[in-house]
Amino acid sequence: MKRAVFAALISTWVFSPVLADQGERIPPPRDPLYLKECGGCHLAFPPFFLPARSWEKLLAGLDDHFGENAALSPEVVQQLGTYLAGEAGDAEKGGRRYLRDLPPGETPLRISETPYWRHEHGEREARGMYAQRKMTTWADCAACHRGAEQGDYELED
Amino acid sequence: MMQAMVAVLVLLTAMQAGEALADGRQALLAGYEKEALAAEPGFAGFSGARGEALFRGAFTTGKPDTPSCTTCHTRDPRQAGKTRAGKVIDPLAVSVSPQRFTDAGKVEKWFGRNCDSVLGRACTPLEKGDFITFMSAQ
Repeated sequence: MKRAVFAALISTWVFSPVLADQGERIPPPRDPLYLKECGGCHLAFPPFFLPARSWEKLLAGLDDHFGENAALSPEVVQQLGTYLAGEAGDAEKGGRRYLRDLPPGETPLRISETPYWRHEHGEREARGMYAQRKMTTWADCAACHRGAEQGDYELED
Repeated sequence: MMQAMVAVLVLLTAMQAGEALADGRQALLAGYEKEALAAEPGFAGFSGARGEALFRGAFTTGKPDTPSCTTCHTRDPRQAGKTRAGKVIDPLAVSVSPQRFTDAGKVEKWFGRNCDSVLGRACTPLEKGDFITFMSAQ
């Protein structure tokens, strides 16, 4: 009995990096201001999908946010800036996996422009789903990752 | 006996909450009414019919991918809408979404963004009041 328990524990420890590396369960953002101001039109993207410099650039250009005027008051922008800097992919608690292979000189404004994302969505399956569901933007993560708002990026079969 | 009392209390609280929301909406409309009186010669009150025409109108003056309010909100105010990025939008109909049009800041923010998108300009106080009047009856 003891041996079985021991084996189970060891297995979990050995395999946990693999499971963790699936990246399928991601703590969703919970900051109320971020959810309200940055989650009204699109999924409130987990901040660690981008480096701090990208969030900074996005916040600096809200009056032309991918063709939309998403301007906010300077106070709100500042508050969001602090939050995003602290939760970005290269912040101390950040998810460095998501910024893998991103050159330091690059400042992507879209999560879909990061090498990590491209690697995850480069296969025919992703492109097939996109076409099949007649999607018009990759910004709608929840179209395929139904539990995205809860941080569950598991794909349904 | 106890259960009945609890039920009555819950009902009263809900009714009061509903009333508070309705008060908020009335205050908002009163604000737009004041502005409309100042801006429109011969303003004779808001019209749900005009509000509906605005809601269902097809415009060419705004952004090409949002020619109408219905583009994102759908033709049925009682149905949930969807933004172009796939986010679900609560129905506009007050009967389904009683919190609608009670928060002045929120209302002004979205009229600001969405009238710019659809009409290519700001909505007038008259248009805003008409729109809310229409949605209040849906």
